[in-house]
Order: sequence, then structure tokens, then C-alpha cells
Amino acid sequence: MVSKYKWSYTTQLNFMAIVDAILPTSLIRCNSNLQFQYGGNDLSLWKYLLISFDNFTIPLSEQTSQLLDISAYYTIPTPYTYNGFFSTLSRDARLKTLTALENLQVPLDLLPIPYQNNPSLIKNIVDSFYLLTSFGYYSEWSGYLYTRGYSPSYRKLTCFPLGWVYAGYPGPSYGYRDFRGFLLKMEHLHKERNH
Amino acid sequence: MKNYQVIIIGAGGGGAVVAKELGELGLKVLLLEAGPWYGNRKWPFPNTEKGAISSGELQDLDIHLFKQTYNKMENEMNDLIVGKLRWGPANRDRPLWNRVYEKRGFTWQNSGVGGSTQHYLGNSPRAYPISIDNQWPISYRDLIPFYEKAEAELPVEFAPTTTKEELYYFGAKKAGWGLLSSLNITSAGFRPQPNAILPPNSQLTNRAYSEYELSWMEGCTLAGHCINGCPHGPSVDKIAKRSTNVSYTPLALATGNVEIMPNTFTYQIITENHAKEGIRAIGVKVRNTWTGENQELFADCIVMAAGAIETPRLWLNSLLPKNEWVGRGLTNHNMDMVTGIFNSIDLNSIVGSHSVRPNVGHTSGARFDYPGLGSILVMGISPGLTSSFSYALSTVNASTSGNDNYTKGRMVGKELMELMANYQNTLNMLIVTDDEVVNSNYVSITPTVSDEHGPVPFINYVPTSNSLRKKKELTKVAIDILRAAGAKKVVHAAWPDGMMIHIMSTMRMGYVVDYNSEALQVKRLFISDNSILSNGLGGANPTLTTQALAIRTASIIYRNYF
Repeated sequence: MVSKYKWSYTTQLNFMAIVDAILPTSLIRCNSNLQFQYGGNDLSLWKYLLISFDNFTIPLSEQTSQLLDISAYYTIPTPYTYNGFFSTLSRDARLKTLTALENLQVPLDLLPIPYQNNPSLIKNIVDSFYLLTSFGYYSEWSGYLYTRGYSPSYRKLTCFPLGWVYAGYPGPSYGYRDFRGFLLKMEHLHKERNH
Repeated sequence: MKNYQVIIIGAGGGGAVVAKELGELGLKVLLLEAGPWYGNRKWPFPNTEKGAISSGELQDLDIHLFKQTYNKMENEMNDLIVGKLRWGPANRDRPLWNRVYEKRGFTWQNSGVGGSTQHYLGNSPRAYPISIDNQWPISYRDLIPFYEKAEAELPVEFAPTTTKEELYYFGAKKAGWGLLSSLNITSAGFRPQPNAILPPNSQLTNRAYSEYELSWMEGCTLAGHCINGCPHGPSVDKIAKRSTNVSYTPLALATGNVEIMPNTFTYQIITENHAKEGIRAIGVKVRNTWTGENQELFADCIVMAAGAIETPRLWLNSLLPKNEWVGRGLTNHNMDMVTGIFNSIDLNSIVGSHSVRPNVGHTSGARFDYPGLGSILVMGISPGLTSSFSYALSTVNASTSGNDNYTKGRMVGKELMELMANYQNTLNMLIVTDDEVVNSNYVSITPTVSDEHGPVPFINYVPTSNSLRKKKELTKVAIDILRAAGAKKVVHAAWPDGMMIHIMSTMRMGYVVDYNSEALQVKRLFISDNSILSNGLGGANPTLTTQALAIRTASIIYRNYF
């Protein structure tokens, strides 16, 4: 089965730049040790975002890439913009661009359709960047490996997802024996009521 | 075409209950559902092949198919766009069903038999009496027998204690709150969740049984997958979490009088002007979501149970009589999330465990009730949803101000990774606000945006200043409890106001429907979903109240028309 998705190169770069702004490869402090942690792009999360954006009611990946370039142009001092401009910015400048977009500090009438003069859609799309990146990273999505681009019903979990390792999540469970009794029981309340 | 006496639109939290009740009374019922039917032999590949048209046989339910579908993977199940539990057609290669939002936020609902109870947490508290009495056309006392019937049938039992609940009870007590030992809540305090989840199997701690064996036995296994869709139990009708596809639906099928038609979207109510009764409902127009074929179906009574967004949409798209409250008065409990992160050494002395274990036990096994302000759900959810709802969903970037003992706003990068590295030491508190009903919050339709079922819903919600004040006070209660329990770090997410999870009161009793849940302006048209709630119940989860009303409505339909 072959992936049905085709994205322009600059759109791919811009979505990589989003994921890298939100979850970059990092050294994190964990139990007072420093630990290396792979970023979202190492798990191909930019593809998850693109697939998701193309499964909205109307495909939105290309327009969203343009939206990022135009917002970057109005947020970061630059003489001109071009396709993929957003992806050339520093991580701070990219986050600043997202914040400007979220706060509607860009000329709304100059944005590509359907974002043009559509503040609620813009805000919801900014939320989607953050939500999808973190949900994709910490859910099992990366474990679908070569089936990631398949139609959702044909994906297969082929390895233990890295996000689960980082979160200390053991994966789906049949059950746990951590039963510590009941603080209340319905039958006791019924007794109370009848007295 | 077979003749039915009652057609019900929507097999979710309300519709399945009406179907079972009417089936037991001997009426021939057709239950229409827009989404798929998981765990039914007539749809062995529910997301990729159209399967049969309908099923009315209890033997069609298949536990093996059910467990195959409900695989507990959060991306597979909960992804809002292509997940099995999404708001869209069964075929996941097709896009979602569209909604247009006037304000920031989104809706989180499921299509399919079971509706949004497929991903609900099973939380089944009653409404707060002060939010019913003198506010609804019906009194709290009137509701009690119906609550009792729903509680017995689901059944509802208080959640067992696991590590995360024990930690919360410790914090709540230390913060000065008392245990509420009641179902009828008139003061503030903490208690275990009254949940529509079967009690744990008595062998749960018996090591002679493996966890896998336990997952095929009756009773909750504390596996922590309520929100992902619970698949544990020996048969479909004995699944531990009592979503309506495993509780009221099998009971409805057992009557032999109920036929269920999934993959069928109802886009219009058919009415006639009757000499004696006036305008009355006589049928529906539906569309098969696989083939696109349209069909008209007729019955003596119609029950709308499509949820608080689609029910008003259906009314408006059917050009039913004008009523200034149709779609108006929308409430959503103006939710927010507060998360505490604990230190392993402290935890060991408090709960005898080095971690909180958020993935163990009921997704929400404990709650805080505060009549007049709302409620707080104590939760632990799978890691992808935790990162999204605790740290990513926010209207502001993270900041910690000098006087506050918590961080507010969205986390990214290293900070987000460090918080998530502490996932096992995380406790979530969902703020569920008693938000005010106002006419300016609504579900309408937008004539310029249509899908295959007509103009799509248009949603507008802005909380009142009173609702915002209550949310703030509840947030403070949650932070105080987490601090009292020993949390080393607290993060307040600051969600957008337009998060639609508990969606209620858009077809309010007393305004759009009467005391009997029958439309004021259309005879033989009843409503049985969260839309008829006259308000947001003071901040109690809505499902049990809708189910209690559904039982009541079914008896009224039978009495008045059959």
C-alpha cells in the first residue's frame, strides 16, 4: 500500500519547522541527570501533522504552509518572503510567529483562504499545531513506522513507540492489581436512605 | 419497508435508553445512528466495508470483534481526525463532519452506536438539587426514581481506590475538606466517583489468574482505558465500562422489538399539519453514509437524540417552527485542566508507592463537588492525551508570576519533555464549571457552509463573567488540594473557553420541549439527549441525568400515544 499524500517540498520544510519548534531534540533534566531525548522530527511527526491537516473537511496543508510564511513575514523583520521562509527562522522566531498568529497580530485580510479574515480558524489551527505535535509524539503513532502513511485502518504497530519510553508508559494493559478498597459503597448509602 | 412505531435518531447516551425502554413496553422501534457499529457480526470490517443495513439480534454482538476494534491505543482510538472514536463517518478515509466555530475551541464527540459514551469516563453523578429545583420545570424529587432506575440498570457503583485516588483523598482531607457520603449533593467536599463501571472482579488480586484471564472475566480490571474505549469483559453486554453500546443497546436488542441502523445520517424531520393535533412529526429523511442513498422512514412518534449540536441543527434544517430558544442557551461547563507533579520520595511516604500511576484504575475515580461553583474530576489519562490536555491546549504561553505558586499556560520544548518524563508522577484535575445559561451562546446553522447533510452547525460560546469567576475559584480549590497533597509543581493549562466536551442545554426543557420532553411546537416529536437539560446541572457530568430523563420520556411516549 502506497501513501496517498503528496506535499510540496517547502510545505514539508515548514511543517518540520513547526514540530522542531515545539519538540526539538533536547538534553533534559531527569532525576537530576541530563538525558538526551530525540525530537519530534526524528519520529517523522511532521508527516503526522500533514496527514492530519489533509484529513480536515478540506485539505489544509498547503494553505497552512503559506499562512506560516506570511505570518513570519509580518512578525520577523525581513525584506521579502518566499515559500518555506518560516522554516529558515530560528526556533525563537518560529515560536514568536506562532504567538503573533495566535494573537492575530498579522494582517488578517492578506492571509490565504480559508484563513483570510477568519480569526477563530486561525486560533484553532495554532492550537492544532501544539495539540497534534504533542499527541503524536506521546501516543503510539511513531510505532506505526513504515505504515504511518497508510490509510488509518491499515496501520500496524511495529515497534514500542519512543514516546512511551520517554513517558514511562508501559502501553495498553489488560489490568492492574492496584486495588486499595472502596471509600464508599452504594449499598451503604441505600441503607442510610432507608433508615 | 417494515413499519415502526417509534423512530429514534441517535444511539448515544440518551437514544439507546429510550429504545430499550420502549422495546420492553412492546413497541416496534427503529434506532438510527450516523456512525459505525463496533463489535457486531454484521459489520466485521466496520471502518472499511459498508456491511449490512441493520441489525436487531442480540446474537449479532461479537466480543472478539469488539476487542479487535477497541484496541486501547490512544492514537488509533482517540485521534480527533481519523480515530475510531471521532465525529465522522465510519469510513476513516473520509473527512470529519464539519462544524464552524465562531470562537476558539473544538467539539469532542463520537459517532457510532454508543455515541460519546464510547469515550466517556462513566462518571454518573446526579445533578445538584439546587441546580434543578426552581430552575427546571421538574423538581429534583421528581427525578429521583428515574435516577435510581438508571443507577440500578447501568449499574452505577462508587469507584475503587487506586494510588491516584488515595493521593487525592489525602490532599483533599489535608486541605480541610470532608467526605460527601451521599448521591444528593448539597455541600462541598470530596468523594469517589459514582461510575457506570462494574466493580473489580473479586479475583483481581488473586495471582492465580493472569491479567489477560481477568480481562475476559466480569468486572473492571483497573486497566485505565476508560477514555480510550473499554474492551474488558466476557461478552459485549458485560464490558466493564457501561457505555450504551454495551449496556442499554444489548438490553434493547434482547426485547426483540428494536432494530438498529448504523451508518445512517438523519438530515430532516418530516412533518404534516394534522387537523386535530396541528403540526406533528411523522417521519425522517436519512442518508446512508457509505452509499449516499437517501430514504424516507415513517413512524407514529419521533425521538431526536442526536446530541446538543446535531439536534438543534436537525430542527433548523428541517424548517420546523421558529422558536427563539432553539439551539440557544448552550453550556459546556467551561472546562480547564490543572496538573500536579509529585516527587517519588514524598509519594512513598504518603501512598506507599513511588509513582502516582495515572494509567491505573478508572480514568476518573474521584471527584470534588462544590454546588454553586461546579465540580472537579480527578483523572489520569494516557500519555498522548496528557501531553495535549495538560500542557499543549492553552490560550497563552507558559509563565510563572512571582506571587503564584504555579505555572500557567502552554509548555513546549525541554520544559514539556521534562514534565512528560514525570508522567508517572502526574495527577490531573479537570475543572468543570457551573456555567450560566445565556441566550447569546448557541448552536445555529450557517447557510453558506453545507455538507452532504445540509447546512453545518455553527457554534458560538462566550462565558459570562459569573462563569469565569466560578472557574477561577474552582481552579484555586484544585491547586490548593494538589499543593496539600504534596505536589512539587502545579501547571494550570488555561484552556480556551470553547472546549466542547459536555455539550448541553440547547433545546431546553421549558423553552423548546415541555415537561414531557415533547417539542412545544411539534406534536409526537420528543427529544432525549443533553440538549433538553434546562441548564448545566450545576457542573455535574450530564449523562446520568439525560439517561434518567430518557427513561421518563419513554414512559410518557408510551402512555400518551400507544
